Amino acid sequence: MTHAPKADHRTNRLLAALEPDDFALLEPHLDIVDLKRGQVLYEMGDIVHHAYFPHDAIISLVNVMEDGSTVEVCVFGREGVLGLLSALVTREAFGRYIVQFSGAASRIAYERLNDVRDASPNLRQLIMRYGEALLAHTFQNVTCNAIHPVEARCCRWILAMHDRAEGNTLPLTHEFLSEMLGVQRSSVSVVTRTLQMAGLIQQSRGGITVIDRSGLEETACECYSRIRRIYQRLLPGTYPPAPSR
Amino acid sequence: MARYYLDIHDGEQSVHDDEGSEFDSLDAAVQGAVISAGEIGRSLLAKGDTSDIVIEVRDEHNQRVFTVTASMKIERHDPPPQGPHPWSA
Repeated sequence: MTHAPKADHRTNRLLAALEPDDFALLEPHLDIVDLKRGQVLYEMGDIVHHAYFPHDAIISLVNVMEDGSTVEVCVFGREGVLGLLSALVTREAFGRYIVQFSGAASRIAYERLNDVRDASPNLRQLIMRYGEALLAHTFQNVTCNAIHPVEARCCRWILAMHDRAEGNTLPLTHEFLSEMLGVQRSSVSVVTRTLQMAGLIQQSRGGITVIDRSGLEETACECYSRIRRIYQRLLPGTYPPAPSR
Repeated sequence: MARYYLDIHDGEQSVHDDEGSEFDSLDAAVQGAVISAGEIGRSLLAKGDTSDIVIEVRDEHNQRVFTVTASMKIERHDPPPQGPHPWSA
């Protein structure tokens, strides 16, 4: 790679999957923005003005209940784009889009992206494939949240973050994990302690460090590998390869 | 809002809570502890572990305010002896 990762739109693997001619249509409209952990890109119901193609940033879509409690319904990293399928008709954000890992993203105004999509059958095809993958991913999450115990879901979640993050240490607090999984913080404390005792993760002030990836995969439910396969089938090469670190 | 500290014992391990969680009221803290005991118990049961889950809750003054215990007891019943059915003759 000739560019510094932060300067290259094609750090996002969806943008990288485009043919050079199709990417050339988009490139003049793309800006690189730095997203900070905790930043909210859209609150539920906000009008979506931009689509974001994350590089090393990771953004969660969380559903917010009347009492303020939250649960993550989807996650976006370098394999994806957010704000694009959010609301094809109303353009209102489905929920709160919150940055959970700081990093860069390429941003494009919604109208510009629509114009390019209409002119580029390949981009339209890619967006349709991504839409199908995201829907299948979401259906798997719905099922997982309904029937799988906290420990397995916690492993699935840590693995999904590890796939999208740069290093092995994920800056996660128990509080944050509990909000993402929609469970009590004390349950997260017990589960992460169990995973640490089993040698799968190491906890510190800085967050959670993945020690034994394959052990986490064995402890996770089937949903993690199913979701991987969904992306690999519909979007070959865009889902981050299993980190061999 | 008040901060409560939930110390958890689940047979294999004890997790001391030095961070605490905010709850609207004591009743909300009881609710939270009960839900947590269920969540932890379900994860243990998935691994065949039926240990009791005990959650001892302290307030901001380090006073114990309540304890929640979740127990699971499984009794297997032997099938009745397979004699001839009384009506089969």
